[in-house]
This record gives sequence, C-alpha cells and structure tokens, in this order.
Amino acid sequence: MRSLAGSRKPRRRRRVRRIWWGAAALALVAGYLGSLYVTVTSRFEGPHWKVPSTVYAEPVTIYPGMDVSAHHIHDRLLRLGYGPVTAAPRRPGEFRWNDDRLELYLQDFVYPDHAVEGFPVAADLRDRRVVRLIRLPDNAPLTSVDLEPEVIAGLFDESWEGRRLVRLGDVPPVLTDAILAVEDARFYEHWGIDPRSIARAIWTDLKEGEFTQGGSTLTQQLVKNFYLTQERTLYRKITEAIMAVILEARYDKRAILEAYLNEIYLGQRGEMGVYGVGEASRLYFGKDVERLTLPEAALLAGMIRSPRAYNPQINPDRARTARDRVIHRMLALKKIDADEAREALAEPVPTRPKARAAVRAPYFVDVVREQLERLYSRDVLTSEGLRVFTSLDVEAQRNTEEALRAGIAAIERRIPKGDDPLEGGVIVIQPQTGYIRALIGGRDYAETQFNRMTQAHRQPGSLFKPLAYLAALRRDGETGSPRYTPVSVVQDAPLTVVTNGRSWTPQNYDKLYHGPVTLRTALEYSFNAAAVGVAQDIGVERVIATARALGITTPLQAVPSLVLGTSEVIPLELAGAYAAVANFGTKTEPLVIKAVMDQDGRVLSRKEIAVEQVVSPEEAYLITSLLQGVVERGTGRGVRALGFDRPVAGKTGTTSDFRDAWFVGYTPDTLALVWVGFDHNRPLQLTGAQAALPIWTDVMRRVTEGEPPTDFTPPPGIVLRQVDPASGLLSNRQCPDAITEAFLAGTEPTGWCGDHGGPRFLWWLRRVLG
Amino acid sequence: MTAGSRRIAVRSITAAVVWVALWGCAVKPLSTADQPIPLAAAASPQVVAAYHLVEDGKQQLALGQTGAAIATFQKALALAPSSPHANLALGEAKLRQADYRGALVYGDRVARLVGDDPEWLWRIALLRGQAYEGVGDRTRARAAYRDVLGVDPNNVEARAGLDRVAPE
Repeated sequence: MRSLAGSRKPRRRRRVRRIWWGAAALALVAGYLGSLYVTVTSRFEGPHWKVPSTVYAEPVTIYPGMDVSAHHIHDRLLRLGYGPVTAAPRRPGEFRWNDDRLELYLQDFVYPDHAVEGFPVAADLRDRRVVRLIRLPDNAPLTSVDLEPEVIAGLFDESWEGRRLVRLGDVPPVLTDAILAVEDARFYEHWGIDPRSIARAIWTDLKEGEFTQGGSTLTQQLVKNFYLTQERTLYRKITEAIMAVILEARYDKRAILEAYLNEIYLGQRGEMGVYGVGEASRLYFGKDVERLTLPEAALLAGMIRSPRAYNPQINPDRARTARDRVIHRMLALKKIDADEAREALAEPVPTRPKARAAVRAPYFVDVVREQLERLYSRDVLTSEGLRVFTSLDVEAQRNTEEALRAGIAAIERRIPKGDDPLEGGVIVIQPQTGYIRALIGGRDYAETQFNRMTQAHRQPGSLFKPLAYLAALRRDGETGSPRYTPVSVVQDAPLTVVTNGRSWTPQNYDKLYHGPVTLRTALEYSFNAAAVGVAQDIGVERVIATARALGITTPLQAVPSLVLGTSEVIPLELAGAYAAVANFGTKTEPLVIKAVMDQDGRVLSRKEIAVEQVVSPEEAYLITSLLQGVVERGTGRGVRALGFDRPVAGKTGTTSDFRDAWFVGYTPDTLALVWVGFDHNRPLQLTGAQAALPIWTDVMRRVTEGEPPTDFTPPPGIVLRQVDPASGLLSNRQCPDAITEAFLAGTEPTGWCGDHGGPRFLWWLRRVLG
Repeated sequence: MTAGSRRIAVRSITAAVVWVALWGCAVKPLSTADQPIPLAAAASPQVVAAYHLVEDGKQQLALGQTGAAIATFQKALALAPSSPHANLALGEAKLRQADYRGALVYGDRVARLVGDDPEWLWRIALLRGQAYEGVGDRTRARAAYRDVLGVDPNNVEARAGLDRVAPE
C-alpha cells in the first residue's frame, strides 16, 4: 500500500506540476495575446500616421505677355514633375513645347481658395512671350493660369513620409479591385490569414528552392508595415499572423483596406518617401486618386511588390509588364471584361521622367518653421499634414543663391585666406506686399544654420544714413516745415563731438573733408562728417524715432555715431525699413507665410498684407530720389558700370575696419539687401561698393529679368525743379550739371544760380521781378 | 395708304418704339460704381493679368468669399504692384474690414498710379471719403465726398456720405 501510495504521490505531484505549467503557459499566451491586442488596437484607433507638413513656394501665374524664358517656365515644369511628350498632352503632368507653342496638361491641386482639376491649356508664343492663352480642346481664351506651387520642404520628425490621406469612399473601385486582384484576391473571405495562400506560397517556394512567395494577406502586409520590422524570421511571421487575426476580429474589412491604401510605400520623390495611393497618384499621374483610370490603377497595383523595380519613371518596360499582369489577373477574376482589358492594355505607360531636384531654401524654411511654431505645436507640425503656402519665388531663390555663390567666390579670390569662411546673405523682398521672395542666411546651410539675415545683429554702417537724412527731411511736428531739403547746404568739415566725456571726430572714407555741399551730395558720396553734423542739428532722438517708425526694433544708442551705423541691427529689419521707404512711406510687415491649410483642405489661417503709413509718401520719395543719385553719381555708381540700367535707388555701406560690406537697393517693385563679412568680425578689407554691390547687381539683374522696367513716380505733394547741384539754386541754361531735384511742395528754392554764366539781362530781369 | 398697310405701319412703329425702349433698358448703364474701370492702353501684361484677377476677386466677393477675394486681390498686387485695379480693390476690401487707415494707404497708392485720370478720381475720392468718415475725420470726408459729386453729381454713395458727415 505504501508503495502504491508512494507511487501515487509523485504522480499527483506531477499532475499538479503539469497543471501549474499549463496555467503558467496559458497565462503567458494570454499575456502575449493581450499585449498584441493592445498594440494592435492602440495604434489602429489613434492617429494612424504622422503626416509631415508640406511647405510650398508661391505658384507661378502664366498670362498673355509673359516672358516664359525669363520666368524659367521650362525648368519649373520639370521640377513640378511634368514630362515632355511629342504628341498633344493627354494626361495631367504632360507638356509639349515647340518654338511657338507650349501645351500642357495642368495637374490637380488644392489651393487655399479653390481646387483645380487638371485641364489642358496652350500658350501661343512669339519671341518667348505668351501671345495667347487658351483652354483645350475648346480654345476658350484664358486670362491666366497657375502652375502648381513647388514643394520646398517637409516638416517632419524622423523621415519625410509624403502621404495624402484618402478615404475608402474616395478611392475608385477600379483601384481597390486592381490591388486586391494581385495582392489578396480572397481578402473579403479570409480572417486575416489565408491558409490556401500560405499553402500555395510554400508549394511555390519548395518548387523554386528559395523563399520568394510570402503568401501574406493584405491584412498581414498592413500589420508588417504598421507594427513590425521587415526582418524575415519565423517568430516575426507568427506574430504577424496573430496580429492579423486580431485586427480582423476587431475591425471591419473597410477600415483595414482603407488603412492599407494609405500605408503602402510606393516610391520616392527626392528626399520624400511616397506613401499611400493618394500621394502616389499625384506623383505618377498628376491627379487625385478619385480620377484614376483602369490602366493607371493597374500600374499602381503592380508597383506594390517593388516600387523601385516597377517604377514607370525608371523602368517603363518592367512597369508595363507589371501593369499588364494586373490587368490580366483582373480579367481572370472577372473584375473587368475583355473589352476593358484590351483598351487598358493598349494604353501606353506614362513615361514622364522623375521630377528634377527641387529648389531648397533652408534658411527661408527655418523662418517659416519658427513662425509656424508660434501658432502650432511641434507635434502638430510634424504629424497633422498641414500645407503651408509661402511667398518664396523659387526661381528668385535659385538665382539669388547662384549670384551669392559666384560673388563670394570672386571676393575670395581678392582677399587673403583666413581660418573662418567668408559669409554672405541676401534678402529679396517686394516692398508693396512685404513678400520675401528669396532669403539666404549664409553661404552653406550644411555648415552652419545660423541665419545672418534674421538672427544676426550687425552694424549697418552707412546704410543707416538715409534713415537719418529722412528724419532731417521730414516735416517738423511743430513748425510743419522740414529742417532740410535735398539742396540744403551742409558742412562736411571737421566736427568734434563729446559723448560721455570722450571726444570724437568723424572722418570720411577718403580722409578728406569736402566743405559745404548739398545734402544730396553728402548722401550720394556718403560723407560721414556731414551726416553727423545733420544728425546733431536735428537731434539723434529724432533719428531714432524715424528708425523706429520704419520698423527697427533693436536697441539704438543715442550717440552721435549712430548716424554712421554703429548700433547693431537685424538685416531683415533694415531691409524692411528700406522697403517702407521704397513703398512711399508705407510699412508692410515682411511676410513669408501666406496661408496654412489642414489636410482636409480647410484654411486654418491666412495672412493678409498689413500696411501702415509711417512716413508721408512725399518725404519717403525724397529719400528714394536721393538714393537714385547714389547709383547715378555716387558711391553706388558701380551698379551702372556693371550694366544694370533700370531705374533704381540704392546705398552702399561699410563698417569700421571693413568688417561688414553692404548694399541695399530697389527698383519700384523689388528690393534686395546684400551683406558680406565674417562671422567673427575679421576685417574684409573691402567696401560695400566693392564686395556687396556686384552681388546685388547680379541678383537684381536675374530676379527682374522679364519684368517691364518701371520708374519711381513722384507722389502728389512733390514738385520737381531743375537745380544747380553745387549751389542748390534753380539752374540757368549755363549750369553745366543741372539735375532735376524733388522738393516737398513749398520748400523748393526760388533763387537762381548765379555761379554760372547766362544772359545777364535775364538774370537782372529775374532779380527785378523777384 | 390702305387700311392694311396703315396697320402694318402702325405696328411697325409700335414695335420699333418698344424695341428701342427695351434696348434702352438693356443697355442702360450700370451704376457707375459697378462698371469695371477700363485698362490704360499702355498697360503692361502684368497689369492686364492683374486686372482680370481683380475681376475674379470681385466675383468671389459677390459670393461672400471675402477671404478668398482678398487673397486674389493680393495675388494681383504681387503680380503687378503698379496695378491701380489691384490697389483700389484692396483699398475697398480694407474699407469692408473697417481698416480705414489701410484703405487710405491704398487710396493714396491708386492716386499716385493714375495721376489725374477722371475715370479714377471720383472712385479714389469716394474711397477716401468713406475711410476718412471711418476714422472720424468729418472735414476731410466732406471734402472727399464733394470731390466725388463734382465729377459724378448723381453718385448715391457720396451723397449719402455727405449727408452723414454734414456739420451738425
């Protein structure tokens, strides 16, 4: 009995142990399944994807009269992914360019105000200009069309996954049929895994002796992409299968299919990965997914296996083979009939080349990002798929980059090599709108992301003088009259001022004093002593007030040297101040973001041009007129020597010890500011006229190409008189260098020049008649 | 003349009168404010394109799409900063938004761009009158409304404006 009982005990113990083990194993399995369940549901029920925000440049408007060559329309089309074709364009994203005609099929695009469904247009050309713009095929005349804006950046966390989310209801059945036909024909019948497919895959693998067929259902593919790594292990495969079953048990087929359509990787556009059928439809066919045709849908479905191998832009023949395989499969599954298949098979594969590399404007994008981060959290910016429309003119940016690069290289050939690299920056701004058209904050963003146009504080040197002269030319609040006119005689003579117990005597660049000169001459030749004298006369506080009115916010020291630009400013603010002068005294806030949309097409914010009259139009015009003289006769005459012949106003700037070289100048419609120097203030040993002016001229020549030349129109309240520049008096016929001078009405001179010859009786008559 | 031919003559005359009356109604000028301002003959292609954009923007405005309309006007301005049409449209938009100082800025711009073109003068004056009225400068508003009436004595808006800002 003992022995029997003794043998029973271990058996019972073994049984208990087995139960324990079983329970533990069950608990383990349950825990494992539970954790998989939580993983599956938590991701599937939250936001599925982090969709980066997309930053767009300004769209380009094509209109009758436009110079298509000057606006680089061909390059723009290639960057936008348009492909040249030899026959008439039949699909969005195609164009045909003959000498006298451009035909293009616009691509679909959703703008902040309206959505455009791509349509064919033609522009008849003569001498590179559009003479007629029509809609095809009905030849209806058009007044203008927009080319879609170029993407200049994505705002993302880890990788740039371009994704345009679609709802299943918006996806044409032909696309889902095509995808299901080749990826998972029994999708609506299985419960996540398909034993029949697995068996078939195993059989094929055994036959071919390698592991090629996965037999994965569409749900398994989704699980693999969504939750798991791409490694090929049995454990991963089992996990995938279990998760697929959980997914199917928990969610309906439509939700799974919709997620799959948005998840699949379908290629690459530059740095951006193309995910989902929405984005892919735009990339390969230039249209929304809703409008895909059977052959297009089949092509996309065929690419899923290997987006690179079957990419029609790289391997059109292989893409066609893959597409045809899908069409045949759809026919076999009776998703289409024989006629439809025949027609689809006859369609050529779109063969437009890969889009040319996009223009990047990293410093500009940083400014955009900074401004966006004031409105939206970083998380929203990198995951909510916002679409940000900016003021950047891609061609202006590209041209400005080229001009700066060439200009810096030319300077480097003239100066001794040092440890730190020569730096430079450019801002191009449209004064009337405040739109920043181009922005470069340094010579190499990869080297340093510090933006020298928006973050640096630099001494402006003589660029500050026009602000001081503007203060002198403005009407006094009390008397209603200005203290100076452009022909007021000022003294360019030794002048010693005492500040904080220290005396200081400003000197000129040429180490000479030029005696009594008109205010115009003093500015045109940038005489330091004269400028300090004028500022001392009107009071430095008045200069500061004018600078503040024009938008300078940095601390300005109320010292006599302020007028020579010794207080540091932010270059962007300086450009804004000059833009206000160029814009007849109206300050417009420099603007980079025009509108922000969410991924459903709702406009979240829209930036309107903000205008404020900070100086009267006529006072501002006086400065423009003086700055025109700088370019015609003064320190900026190199602009003319370099062949830029548009009406232009400008000013050179050089700081003490040649640390900063500046040039700012503007036509009526475009302003550019250029800075060249070293980050650590090493002397450049070149003036603004030598270093910055040539770059400015190159920039302006490029960005104004094709624009009609316009002149500065004097506003009401300005009177123009012919004066002798030396005396500032009305000129007589003998005055050799008479110029047209602008005055605030009522301040024009009444006396006649007596320094030059002339009929004496006329001179006498004028004196008698007053 | 037979009775028949007389009847035909009477009918013809009646028909002609009715036709002329109808034609008169049909071609009766719109209120001057609604008429598009013609483009200057020497307008640059950009200015012409901006003009058409402004017309598009006005249609958006009529549909109540104010934000979209202003964006279109701004697009026109960016395309052709010297477009008087774009500047006037933005001035009028500012007026609608009660940004009267902004409206005055655009009014001044238009004035600079068009010189003394009578086609524009009364429109600029009307814009200024309404903007000055908005900022409470009744004296300047009165003067501006009178300028409008000097060019267009039947201008209803200017007359109403003048009544509003008449000295008490």
